Amino acid sequence: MKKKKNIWIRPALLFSLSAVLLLLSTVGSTRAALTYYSADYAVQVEIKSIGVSLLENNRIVSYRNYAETGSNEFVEGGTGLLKNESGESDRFGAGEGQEKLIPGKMYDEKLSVQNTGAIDEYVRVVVTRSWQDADGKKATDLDPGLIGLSLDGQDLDEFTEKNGWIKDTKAAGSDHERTVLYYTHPVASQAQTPAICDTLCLDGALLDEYETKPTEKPGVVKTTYKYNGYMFVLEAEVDAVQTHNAEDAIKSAWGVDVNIAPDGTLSLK
Amino acid sequence: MKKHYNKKILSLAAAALVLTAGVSAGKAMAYFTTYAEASGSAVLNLGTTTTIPDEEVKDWVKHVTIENTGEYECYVRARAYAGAEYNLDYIIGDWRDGGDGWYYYDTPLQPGETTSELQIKIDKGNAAEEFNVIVVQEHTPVRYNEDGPYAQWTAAAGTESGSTEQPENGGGSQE
Repeated sequence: MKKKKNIWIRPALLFSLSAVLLLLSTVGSTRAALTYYSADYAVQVEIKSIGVSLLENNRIVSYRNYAETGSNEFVEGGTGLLKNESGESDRFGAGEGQEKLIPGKMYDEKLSVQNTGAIDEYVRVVVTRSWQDADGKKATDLDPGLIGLSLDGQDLDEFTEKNGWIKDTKAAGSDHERTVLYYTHPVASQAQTPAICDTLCLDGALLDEYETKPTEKPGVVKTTYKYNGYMFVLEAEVDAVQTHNAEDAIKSAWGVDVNIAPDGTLSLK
Repeated sequence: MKKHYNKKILSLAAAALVLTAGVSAGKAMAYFTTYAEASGSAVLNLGTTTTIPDEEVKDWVKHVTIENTGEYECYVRARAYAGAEYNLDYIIGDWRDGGDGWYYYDTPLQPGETTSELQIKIDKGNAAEEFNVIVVQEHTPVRYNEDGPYAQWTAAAGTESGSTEQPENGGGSQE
Protein backbone atom coordinates (compact mmCIF):
# COMPACT_ATOMS: atom_id res chain seq x y z
CA MET A 1 0.00 0.00 0.00
CA LYS A 2 1.29 3.31 -0.93
CA LYS A 3 2.03 5.47 2.07
CA LYS A 4 -0.02 8.63 2.14
CA LYS A 5 2.22 11.62 1.73
CA ASN A 6 1.68 14.57 4.11
CA ILE A 7 1.50 17.56 1.83
CA TRP A 8 2.38 20.04 4.70
CA ILE A 9 5.79 18.57 5.57
CA ARG A 10 7.82 20.22 2.84
CA PRO A 11 6.37 23.76 3.24
CA ALA A 12 6.79 23.51 6.97
CA LEU A 13 10.39 22.46 6.57
CA LEU A 14 11.08 25.27 4.17
CA PHE A 15 9.37 27.76 6.42
CA SER A 16 11.44 26.61 9.37
CA LEU A 17 14.55 26.90 7.28
CA SER A 18 13.57 30.46 6.33
CA ALA A 19 13.01 31.32 9.95
CA VAL A 20 16.44 29.98 10.86
CA LEU A 21 18.02 31.97 8.03
CA LEU A 22 16.16 35.06 9.18
CA LEU A 23 17.40 34.56 12.71
CA LEU A 24 20.95 34.06 11.58
CA SER A 25 20.85 37.23 9.52
CA THR A 26 20.26 39.29 12.66
CA VAL A 27 23.16 37.85 14.61
CA GLY A 28 25.79 38.42 12.01
CA SER A 29 27.65 41.03 14.08
CA THR A 30 27.59 38.80 17.12
CA ARG A 31 29.28 36.06 15.18
CA ALA A 32 32.06 38.46 14.35
CA ALA A 33 33.03 38.52 17.97
CA LEU A 34 33.86 34.83 18.00
CA THR A 35 37.55 34.30 17.74
CA TYR A 36 37.50 31.31 15.46
CA TYR A 37 36.12 33.24 12.52
CA SER A 38 38.43 34.00 9.70
CA ALA A 39 40.50 37.16 9.64
CA ASP A 40 38.81 38.20 6.41
CA TYR A 41 35.45 38.24 8.07
CA ALA A 42 36.77 40.21 11.03
CA VAL A 43 38.18 42.84 8.70
CA GLN A 44 34.86 43.17 6.99
CA VAL A 45 33.18 44.06 10.28
CA GLU A 46 35.92 46.50 11.26
CA ILE A 47 35.45 48.50 8.09
CA LYS A 48 31.96 49.43 9.21
CA SER A 49 32.92 50.77 12.61
CA ILE A 50 32.98 54.51 13.24
CA GLY A 51 34.36 56.28 16.26
CA VAL A 52 35.48 59.68 17.39
CA SER A 53 37.27 61.13 20.40
CA LEU A 54 37.76 64.59 21.78
CA LEU A 55 41.25 65.35 23.00
CA GLU A 56 42.22 67.99 25.54
CA ASN A 57 45.94 68.66 25.68
CA ASN A 58 46.53 65.42 23.76
CA ARG A 59 44.54 63.36 26.25
CA ILE A 60 41.25 61.70 25.29
CA VAL A 61 38.55 63.24 27.44
CA SER A 62 35.51 61.87 25.63
CA TYR A 63 34.97 59.09 23.13
CA ARG A 64 32.21 57.18 21.43
CA ASN A 65 33.30 54.27 19.27
CA TYR A 66 31.38 51.50 17.62
CA ALA A 67 32.09 48.37 19.60
CA GLU A 68 34.77 46.32 17.93
CA THR A 69 33.26 43.22 19.44
CA GLY A 70 30.39 43.62 17.03
CA SER A 71 27.77 43.90 19.70
CA ASN A 72 25.98 46.57 17.70
CA GLU A 73 26.61 49.07 20.45
CA PHE A 74 28.72 52.14 20.93
CA VAL A 75 31.29 52.22 23.66
CA GLU A 76 31.52 55.66 25.19
CA GLY A 77 33.11 57.43 28.13
CA GLY A 78 35.76 59.91 29.18
CA THR A 79 36.78 62.15 32.02
CA GLY A 80 35.33 65.43 30.78
CA LEU A 81 37.08 68.75 30.32
CA LEU A 82 39.16 70.85 32.69
CA LYS A 83 40.52 67.95 34.72
CA ASN A 84 44.07 67.49 35.90
CA GLU A 85 46.54 65.32 34.03
CA SER A 86 45.31 62.13 35.61
CA GLY A 87 41.74 63.14 34.82
CA GLU A 88 40.70 62.38 38.39
CA SER A 89 40.13 65.82 39.83
CA ASP A 90 39.35 69.33 38.72
CA ARG A 91 42.22 71.17 37.16
CA PHE A 92 41.45 74.54 38.72
CA GLY A 93 40.98 75.20 42.40
CA ALA A 94 42.81 75.93 45.59
CA GLY A 95 43.67 72.34 46.44
CA GLU A 96 46.96 70.54 46.15
CA GLY A 97 48.02 69.96 42.57
CA GLN A 98 45.40 72.35 41.26
CA GLU A 99 46.02 75.51 39.32
CA LYS A 100 44.78 78.82 40.58
CA LEU A 101 42.44 80.45 38.12
CA ILE A 102 43.54 84.01 37.52
CA PRO A 103 41.97 86.39 34.99
CA GLY A 104 44.30 87.29 32.19
CA LYS A 105 46.56 84.32 32.77
CA MET A 106 46.92 81.91 29.87
CA TYR A 107 46.44 78.19 30.35
CA ASP A 108 47.12 75.39 27.90
CA GLU A 109 43.84 74.25 26.43
CA LYS A 110 44.48 72.36 23.24
CA LEU A 111 41.29 70.84 21.89
CA SER A 112 41.52 68.48 18.95
CA VAL A 113 39.75 65.49 17.47
CA GLN A 114 40.93 61.97 16.79
CA ASN A 115 39.27 59.47 14.52
CA THR A 116 39.13 56.44 16.77
CA GLY A 117 37.03 54.45 14.37
CA ALA A 118 38.02 52.32 11.40
CA ILE A 119 36.57 54.40 8.59
CA ASP A 120 37.43 57.88 7.35
CA GLU A 121 35.11 60.58 8.57
CA TYR A 122 34.31 64.26 8.48
CA VAL A 123 34.16 65.97 11.84
CA ARG A 124 32.89 69.19 13.35
CA VAL A 125 33.17 70.64 16.83
CA VAL A 126 30.57 72.69 18.68
CA VAL A 127 32.06 74.70 21.53
CA THR A 128 29.82 76.33 24.09
CA ARG A 129 30.95 78.79 26.73
CA SER A 130 28.77 80.09 29.54
CA TRP A 131 28.63 81.24 33.15
CA GLN A 132 26.68 79.63 35.96
CA ASP A 133 25.99 80.75 39.49
CA ALA A 134 26.65 78.66 42.58
CA ASP A 135 23.32 76.88 42.14
CA GLY A 136 24.19 75.81 38.62
CA LYS A 137 21.78 78.30 37.08
CA LYS A 138 22.93 79.94 33.89
CA ALA A 139 24.00 83.54 34.44
CA THR A 140 22.81 85.24 31.29
CA ASP A 141 23.93 88.68 32.42
CA LEU A 142 27.59 87.64 32.40
CA ASP A 143 29.56 87.77 29.19
CA PRO A 144 30.64 84.39 27.77
CA GLY A 145 32.96 86.30 25.46
CA LEU A 146 35.25 86.80 28.45
CA ILE A 147 35.93 83.06 28.48
CA GLY A 148 38.65 83.24 25.89
CA LEU A 149 39.62 80.28 23.74
CA SER A 150 42.29 81.15 21.24
CA LEU A 151 44.49 79.59 18.62
CA ASP A 152 47.87 81.13 17.90
CA GLY A 153 46.79 84.19 19.86
CA GLN A 154 43.56 84.66 17.93
CA ASP A 155 40.24 84.09 19.66
CA LEU A 156 37.78 81.59 18.19
CA ASP A 157 35.46 84.52 17.66
CA GLU A 158 37.98 86.33 15.52
CA PHE A 159 38.82 83.90 12.74
CA THR A 160 36.70 82.18 10.16
CA GLU A 161 39.35 79.82 8.82
CA LYS A 162 42.49 78.45 10.43
CA ASN A 163 44.54 75.26 10.30
CA GLY A 164 41.97 73.48 8.16
CA TRP A 165 39.03 74.51 10.36
CA ILE A 166 36.27 76.80 9.14
CA LYS A 167 33.66 78.47 11.28
CA ASP A 168 29.98 78.31 10.51
CA THR A 169 29.07 81.95 10.98
CA LYS A 170 25.45 81.23 10.14
CA ALA A 171 24.99 78.50 12.73
CA ALA A 172 22.12 78.97 15.14
CA GLY A 173 23.21 80.87 18.21
CA SER A 174 26.60 81.53 16.70
CA ASP A 175 28.17 84.19 18.88
CA HIS A 176 30.52 84.39 21.80
CA GLU A 177 28.61 81.60 23.47
CA ARG A 178 28.41 78.99 20.73
CA THR A 179 30.97 78.31 18.05
CA VAL A 180 30.64 75.68 15.35
CA LEU A 181 33.79 74.65 13.50
CA TYR A 182 34.10 72.20 10.62
CA TYR A 183 37.27 70.41 9.69
CA THR A 184 37.57 70.71 5.95
CA HIS A 185 39.40 67.46 5.25
CA PRO A 186 38.45 63.84 5.82
CA VAL A 187 40.08 62.46 8.92
CA ALA A 188 41.63 59.06 8.36
CA SER A 189 41.27 56.26 10.85
CA GLN A 190 43.36 56.95 13.96
CA ALA A 191 44.47 60.34 12.61
CA GLN A 192 44.22 63.50 14.65
CA THR A 193 43.12 66.93 13.49
CA PRO A 194 45.01 70.14 14.20
CA ALA A 195 43.78 71.85 17.35
CA ILE A 196 40.84 74.23 17.22
CA CYS A 197 42.34 76.17 20.12
CA ASP A 198 45.46 76.05 22.24
CA THR A 199 44.89 78.57 25.02
CA LEU A 200 42.26 79.28 27.63
CA CYS A 201 42.26 82.73 29.16
CA LEU A 202 39.65 84.52 31.20
CA ASP A 203 39.72 88.09 30.01
CA GLY A 204 41.15 90.44 32.61
CA ALA A 205 38.37 92.86 31.70
CA LEU A 206 36.09 90.95 34.04
CA LEU A 207 38.02 92.61 36.88
CA ASP A 208 36.73 95.95 35.66
CA GLU A 209 33.26 95.12 36.89
CA TYR A 210 33.22 95.65 40.62
CA GLU A 211 31.65 97.67 43.34
CA THR A 212 33.24 99.27 46.34
CA LYS A 213 31.68 99.58 49.77
CA PRO A 214 33.01 101.36 52.83
CA THR A 215 34.11 99.18 55.70
CA GLU A 216 33.80 99.78 59.40
CA LYS A 217 37.27 101.27 59.36
CA PRO A 218 37.13 104.91 58.26
CA GLY A 219 38.60 105.52 54.86
CA VAL A 220 38.89 101.84 54.01
CA VAL A 221 36.76 100.36 51.27
CA LYS A 222 36.19 96.83 50.13
CA THR A 223 36.16 95.94 46.45
CA THR A 224 33.84 93.13 45.38
CA TYR A 225 34.04 91.76 41.86
CA LYS A 226 30.91 90.99 39.86
CA TYR A 227 32.24 87.67 38.52
CA ASN A 228 33.42 86.44 41.89
CA GLY A 229 32.01 83.03 42.78
CA TYR A 230 30.61 82.34 39.35
CA MET A 231 31.55 79.23 37.47
CA PHE A 232 32.60 79.26 33.86
CA VAL A 233 31.46 76.26 31.88
CA LEU A 234 33.13 74.90 28.79
CA GLU A 235 31.34 72.31 26.66
CA ALA A 236 32.55 70.67 23.49
CA GLU A 237 30.72 68.26 21.22
CA VAL A 238 32.44 66.45 18.38
CA ASP A 239 30.28 65.09 15.58
CA ALA A 240 31.56 62.63 13.00
CA VAL A 241 30.00 61.28 9.84
CA GLN A 242 31.09 58.90 7.12
CA THR A 243 32.93 60.21 4.06
CA HIS A 244 31.00 58.00 1.66
CA ASN A 245 28.17 59.98 0.10
CA ALA A 246 29.21 62.70 2.50
CA GLU A 247 27.02 65.54 1.26
CA ASP A 248 23.85 63.57 1.86
CA ALA A 249 25.17 62.02 5.04
CA ILE A 250 26.08 65.42 6.51
CA LYS A 251 22.76 66.91 5.47
CA SER A 252 20.98 64.01 7.10
CA ALA A 253 23.07 63.91 10.27
CA TRP A 254 23.84 67.56 10.89
CA GLY A 255 21.22 69.35 8.82
CA VAL A 256 23.87 71.37 7.02
CA ASP A 257 24.40 71.86 3.30
CA VAL A 258 28.01 71.33 2.31
CA ASN A 259 30.03 70.93 -0.84
CA ILE A 260 32.57 68.18 -1.11
CA ALA A 261 35.23 68.91 -3.72
CA PRO A 262 36.71 66.07 -5.78
CA ASP A 263 39.77 66.11 -3.53
CA GLY A 264 37.51 65.66 -0.50
CA THR A 265 37.69 69.24 0.76
CA LEU A 266 34.55 70.30 2.60
CA SER A 267 33.07 73.76 2.32
CA LEU A 268 29.86 75.23 3.63
CA LYS A 269 27.16 76.24 1.17
CA MET B 1 -2.01 18.78 -7.49
CA LYS B 2 1.77 18.88 -7.65
CA LYS B 3 1.57 22.28 -9.29
CA HIS B 4 -0.41 23.57 -6.29
CA TYR B 5 2.40 22.53 -3.87
CA ASN B 6 5.01 24.39 -5.88
CA LYS B 7 2.98 27.57 -5.72
CA LYS B 8 2.73 27.33 -1.96
CA ILE B 9 6.42 26.62 -1.60
CA LEU B 10 7.33 29.47 -3.86
CA SER B 11 5.07 31.84 -1.93
CA LEU B 12 6.63 30.87 1.38
CA ALA B 13 10.12 31.18 -0.01
CA ALA B 14 9.33 34.60 -1.45
CA ALA B 15 7.91 35.76 1.86
CA ALA B 16 11.01 34.59 3.69
CA LEU B 17 13.20 36.39 1.17
CA VAL B 18 11.29 39.65 1.62
CA LEU B 19 11.53 39.38 5.39
CA THR B 20 15.25 38.68 5.24
CA ALA B 21 15.81 41.59 2.88
CA GLY B 22 13.70 43.84 5.10
CA VAL B 23 15.87 43.13 8.13
CA SER B 24 19.03 44.27 6.41
CA ALA B 25 17.47 47.18 4.53
CA GLY B 26 17.24 49.33 7.65
CA LYS B 27 20.98 49.14 8.29
CA ALA B 28 21.93 49.78 4.70
CA MET B 29 20.00 53.06 4.55
CA ALA B 30 21.50 54.57 7.73
CA TYR B 31 24.62 56.74 7.65
CA PHE B 32 27.54 56.04 9.89
CA THR B 33 27.65 58.82 12.46
CA THR B 34 28.84 59.24 16.00
CA TYR B 35 29.60 61.99 18.47
CA ALA B 36 31.50 62.62 21.68
CA GLU B 37 30.64 65.22 24.28
CA ALA B 38 32.57 66.64 27.19
CA SER B 39 32.15 69.51 29.56
CA GLY B 40 34.05 71.03 32.42
CA SER B 41 33.82 73.97 34.74
CA ALA B 42 35.77 75.97 37.26
CA VAL B 43 34.75 78.48 39.88
CA LEU B 44 36.30 81.91 39.64
CA ASN B 45 37.29 82.84 43.16
CA LEU B 46 38.24 86.48 43.10
CA GLY B 47 37.10 87.12 46.63
CA THR B 48 37.38 90.74 47.62
CA THR B 49 40.21 93.18 47.73
CA THR B 50 40.81 95.38 50.71
CA THR B 51 44.02 97.17 51.56
CA ILE B 52 44.62 98.91 54.83
CA PRO B 53 47.30 101.52 55.27
CA ASP B 54 49.31 101.66 58.45
CA GLU B 55 51.03 104.89 59.32
CA GLU B 56 53.45 105.64 62.07
CA VAL B 57 54.88 109.09 62.61
CA LYS B 58 58.23 109.47 64.28
CA ASP B 59 60.59 112.44 64.17
CA TRP B 60 58.64 114.14 61.40
CA VAL B 61 58.76 111.04 59.24
CA LYS B 62 55.69 109.06 58.26
CA HIS B 63 56.35 105.36 57.94
CA VAL B 64 53.65 104.01 55.61
CA THR B 65 52.94 100.36 54.95
CA ILE B 66 49.92 98.79 53.25
CA GLU B 67 48.47 95.39 53.99
CA ASN B 68 46.33 93.35 51.63
CA THR B 69 43.55 92.15 53.89
CA GLY B 70 41.46 90.91 50.95
CA GLU B 71 41.38 87.54 49.24
CA TYR B 72 42.88 88.44 45.88
CA GLU B 73 46.36 89.60 44.97
CA CYS B 74 46.73 93.24 44.10
CA TYR B 75 49.10 96.08 43.39
CA VAL B 76 49.13 99.18 45.56
CA ARG B 77 50.29 102.74 45.17
CA ALA B 78 50.36 105.69 47.55
CA ARG B 79 50.88 109.40 47.65
CA ALA B 80 50.70 112.12 50.29
CA TYR B 81 49.09 115.52 50.32
CA ALA B 82 50.07 118.41 52.55
CA GLY B 83 49.72 122.15 52.59
CA ALA B 84 51.93 124.22 50.32
CA GLU B 85 54.03 125.36 53.29
CA TYR B 86 55.22 121.80 53.86
CA ASN B 87 57.84 120.09 51.78
CA LEU B 88 57.59 116.30 51.56
CA ASP B 89 60.60 114.12 50.83
CA TYR B 90 60.04 110.47 49.95
CA ILE B 91 62.46 107.74 50.97
CA ILE B 92 61.18 105.10 48.63
CA GLY B 93 63.13 101.91 49.35
CA ASP B 94 61.29 99.15 47.42
CA TRP B 95 58.80 101.63 46.04
CA ARG B 96 59.08 103.37 42.71
CA ASP B 97 58.48 107.00 41.94
CA GLY B 98 55.98 106.95 39.09
CA GLY B 99 56.66 110.59 38.25
CA ASP B 100 52.92 111.29 38.41
CA GLY B 101 52.79 112.02 42.10
CA TRP B 102 52.19 108.37 42.95
CA TYR B 103 54.63 105.91 44.44
CA TYR B 104 54.18 102.38 43.25
CA TYR B 105 54.89 99.10 44.99
CA ASP B 106 55.67 96.95 41.98
CA THR B 107 55.53 93.58 43.68
CA PRO B 108 52.11 91.92 43.63
CA LEU B 109 50.75 91.91 47.13
CA GLN B 110 49.36 88.52 48.07
CA PRO B 111 46.46 88.26 50.53
CA GLY B 112 47.83 88.85 54.01
CA GLU B 113 51.06 90.41 52.82
CA THR B 114 52.29 93.86 53.75
CA THR B 115 54.48 96.19 51.75
CA SER B 116 57.80 97.42 52.93
CA GLU B 117 57.90 100.97 54.27
CA LEU B 118 57.42 104.10 52.25
CA GLN B 119 58.88 106.91 54.33
CA ILE B 120 57.63 110.44 53.93
CA LYS B 121 59.80 113.02 55.57
CA ILE B 122 57.98 116.20 56.48
CA ASP B 123 59.96 119.41 56.26
CA LYS B 124 57.87 121.83 58.26
CA GLY B 125 60.21 124.79 57.71
CA ASN B 126 58.82 127.78 59.52
CA ALA B 127 55.30 126.47 59.53
CA ALA B 128 53.26 125.85 62.64
CA GLU B 129 53.93 122.82 64.75
CA GLU B 130 50.59 121.27 63.87
CA PHE B 131 50.21 119.87 60.42
CA ASN B 132 47.92 117.65 58.46
CA VAL B 133 49.42 115.28 55.91
CA ILE B 134 47.00 112.96 54.19
CA VAL B 135 48.19 109.70 52.70
CA VAL B 136 46.10 108.25 49.92
CA GLN B 137 46.55 104.71 48.68
CA GLU B 138 44.90 102.73 45.96
CA HIS B 139 44.83 99.11 44.93
CA THR B 140 44.13 97.37 41.69
CA PRO B 141 43.84 93.63 41.12
CA VAL B 142 46.76 91.84 39.53
CA ARG B 143 46.20 91.12 35.85
CA TYR B 144 48.15 88.86 33.58
CA ASN B 145 49.19 88.83 29.98
CA GLU B 146 51.81 86.88 28.06
CA ASP B 147 54.54 88.90 29.79
CA GLY B 148 53.29 88.10 33.27
CA PRO B 149 51.53 90.13 35.95
CA TYR B 150 50.78 93.80 35.49
CA ALA B 151 48.68 96.57 36.97
CA GLN B 152 45.99 98.51 35.19
CA TRP B 153 45.65 101.67 37.19
CA THR B 154 42.77 103.01 35.13
CA ALA B 155 40.75 100.41 37.00
CA ALA B 156 42.11 101.35 40.42
CA ALA B 157 39.71 101.09 43.30
CA GLY B 158 39.55 101.47 46.99
CA THR B 159 40.91 104.92 47.52
CA GLU B 160 41.64 105.44 51.17
CA SER B 161 43.18 108.18 53.17
CA GLY B 162 44.62 108.70 56.58
CA SER B 163 45.38 111.94 58.32
CA THR B 164 47.98 112.64 60.87
CA GLU B 165 48.29 115.45 63.31
CA GLN B 166 51.66 116.26 64.69
CA PRO B 167 51.56 117.43 68.33
CA GLU B 168 53.80 120.16 69.59
CA ASN B 169 56.13 117.81 71.40
CA GLY B 170 57.10 116.21 68.11
CA GLY B 171 56.43 112.68 69.33
CA GLY B 172 53.85 111.67 66.76
CA SER B 173 50.46 110.08 66.89
CA GLN B 174 47.95 108.69 64.50
CA GLU B 175 44.26 109.37 64.31
